[in-house]
Amino acid sequence: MESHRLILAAILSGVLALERKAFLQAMLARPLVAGALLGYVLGHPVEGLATGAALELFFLGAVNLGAALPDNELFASVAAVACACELAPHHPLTLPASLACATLLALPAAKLGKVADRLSERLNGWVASRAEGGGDGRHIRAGLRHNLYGLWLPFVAAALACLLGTVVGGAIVPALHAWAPATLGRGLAMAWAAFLIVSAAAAARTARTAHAFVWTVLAAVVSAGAQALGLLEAG
Amino acid sequence: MTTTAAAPLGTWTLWRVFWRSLFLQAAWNPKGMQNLGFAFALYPALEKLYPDPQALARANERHLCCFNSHPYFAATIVGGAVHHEQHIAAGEEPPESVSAFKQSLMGPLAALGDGFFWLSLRPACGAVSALLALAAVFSGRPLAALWAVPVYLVSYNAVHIGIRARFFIAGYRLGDGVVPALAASRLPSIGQRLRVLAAVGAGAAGGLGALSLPAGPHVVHWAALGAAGLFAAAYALLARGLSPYLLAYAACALALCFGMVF
Repeated sequence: MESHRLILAAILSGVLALERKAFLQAMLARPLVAGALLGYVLGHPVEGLATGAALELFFLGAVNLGAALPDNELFASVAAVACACELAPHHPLTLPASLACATLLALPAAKLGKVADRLSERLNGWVASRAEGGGDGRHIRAGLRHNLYGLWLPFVAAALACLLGTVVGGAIVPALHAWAPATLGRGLAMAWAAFLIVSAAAAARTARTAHAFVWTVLAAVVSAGAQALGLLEAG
Repeated sequence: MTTTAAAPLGTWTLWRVFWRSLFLQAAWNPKGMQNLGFAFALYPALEKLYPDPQALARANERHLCCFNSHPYFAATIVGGAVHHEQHIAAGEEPPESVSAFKQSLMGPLAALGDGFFWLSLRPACGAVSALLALAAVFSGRPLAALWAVPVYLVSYNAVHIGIRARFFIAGYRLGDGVVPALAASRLPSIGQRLRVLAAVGAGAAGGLGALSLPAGPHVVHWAALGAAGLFAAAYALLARGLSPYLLAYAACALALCFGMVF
């Protein structure tokens, strides 16, 4: 992958990490949007979008309620998209197979992201105590500016997650060339479908209403039935 | 209490306060939570209201106590705090009034915001947009999937930015009177409908998963049946508290083996 694209992607990942919690929260850091943006920057928008859509469903229920920290979906997204874009041009992986490979490898990055978030909060505690101590009337403005010091750690950590995804993707490609049974692509494509279905079930679980289950089942039946009919007609 | 004439707050100052309120969680910490962000947001208004450095320091101190609310609805409290500080600076209210206002609203608004934005609007926009993206990718029109991104951002942020700005202004103008305005917005009942939309979007995406199975036309009915079975099993296991990670890896491992063997 070209280095300028990679640097741009790492910077974008860092900016998105700031938007995720520290500033605005306009959902630019959600997996669907982040995946599309990162995929575009890395030159593989379809890989970015498909990975992002699947992870959007998987992490739909990950919410920051009160002081509770959810897993960091952005870390998993940037690592997965970077890895998928690294795998994209390489035989023998088809699109679903490379998406499955990248997503399953990058999923634990969400847990690493949570650790980084916890670390960032501890650091912010130290920053806040310094800012509070400095409020003697003369240095209030400077003290309050400490609020912005909380921005740098999420930025750096997300940029590193993006680079990690590329490194992992780059390390796998030679292994796939050396050892890749003919049936691996088909197996990974099946795994991608399974991941999508589990993600959709996880997303459906986030709708916490009594009637939601009925709507979920109805929508799933209609959607699957329509596709089955369409495929049968095409066949 | 000494009564001093408070300088009127102009649009530019209010805009600066609103802009800085977008950084509310930049230094979120376990002890004071959003306290530093709140004081940071309010500073341009306090600076105008309290020309005396000692009075400014005391006013700033009031806003460094522990504060935590929903980040969007916190703008309402920021607006209301500016309203109260104006009255405090003019000597019309005791300094405790602004703390009482913050303490009484931060909990209910956190619950309202979490329920509406995090658990209703975002799942609805996310599920429907992900469905649009996956449908376009699987139907062989991958670039059409890019429309899912603006659909997501516009539908979510039209509500998000609208509510954030509207209630910031309402908080500033009405102070304590913002509560009836919030109640009139009927957000919980709208959220209920949005959760149904999220369920429909997620269910349809689950059904779409069947299309991504690498099955020929002669076995498509088996593929659809398998997908439906996996979806139902995953839903039931997640409801019983199984980790989605564990479930995802187990399902993918089974599918990988199945795909490589058969």
